[in-house]
Amino acid sequence: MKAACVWLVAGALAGCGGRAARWVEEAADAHAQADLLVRRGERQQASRVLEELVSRPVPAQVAAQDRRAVLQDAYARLAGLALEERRPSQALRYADAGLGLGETRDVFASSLRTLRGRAHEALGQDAEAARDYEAAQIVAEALLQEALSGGGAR
Amino acid sequence: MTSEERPPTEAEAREADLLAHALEDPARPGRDVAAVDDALGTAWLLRASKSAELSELRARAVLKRAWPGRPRWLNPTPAAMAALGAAAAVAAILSLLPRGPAKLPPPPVPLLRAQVAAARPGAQRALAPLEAEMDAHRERLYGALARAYGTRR
Repeated sequence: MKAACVWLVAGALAGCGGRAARWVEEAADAHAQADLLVRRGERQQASRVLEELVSRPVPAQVAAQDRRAVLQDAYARLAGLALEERRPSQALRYADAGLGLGETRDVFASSLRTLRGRAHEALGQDAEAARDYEAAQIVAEALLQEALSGGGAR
Repeated sequence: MTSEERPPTEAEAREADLLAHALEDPARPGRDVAAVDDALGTAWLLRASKSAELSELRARAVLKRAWPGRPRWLNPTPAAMAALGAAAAVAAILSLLPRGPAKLPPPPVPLLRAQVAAARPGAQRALAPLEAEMDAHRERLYGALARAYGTRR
């Protein structure tokens, strides 16, 4: 009986630790599925898969930086798909949601700025588009400078 | 008057008396209990079923006899159980805390060049190379996350 309790506790602990790993796996699976759907030309279906990914609760064990990277990447992909579907307002919403997770000097924020600029441009909001392009350029150029000089930029 | 309400007959009273004595003092020699044999058997069965539960000491003794080579760790002391419980609680708390961030791959130069090219007005065609570079970077990103979080891939 006691041994059974010990095994039960050990099993429960293994389950807790595996939640973050499962979330990462599910996110990777969602992208793989979206890739397949895009190749088949089913962009809306691909968007639904990615929407499901971003609306899923993130386990507390996932580090904030990793959570942001995964979600911002998914939002950027959603914004890109919406632009291809000629739905700039929707693209703007996705880009805003992604940037709302926090903006640091990395490729994910830079991509979202670029896509938001593209959405603003499609909506005729040139001033806003210019601001976003400029912000994206600053980040991308700084990262490029670091990469070219051998620095470990993200 | 029913048979249950009638006072016991002399023979019944004698049998009851004999049964009571046989139960109180079963070892007395020379007593003839043939008349209450059935009742005595039933009474012993009831008594045995009541005392069938094993006390902690009896359980250990039975287990020791049945499994003499049983390892000691399978029979932990209360202190060992408490230590194990505390360790499990600490592990549970630690497993629920956020981890340190994964070491994400640095963005490669072609991806950054594609970002610089795409982040300007009217560069509609520059989005496709950026997407292709981001797809490749995503592979590396999930590879790093898989290593950090111990996924099955």
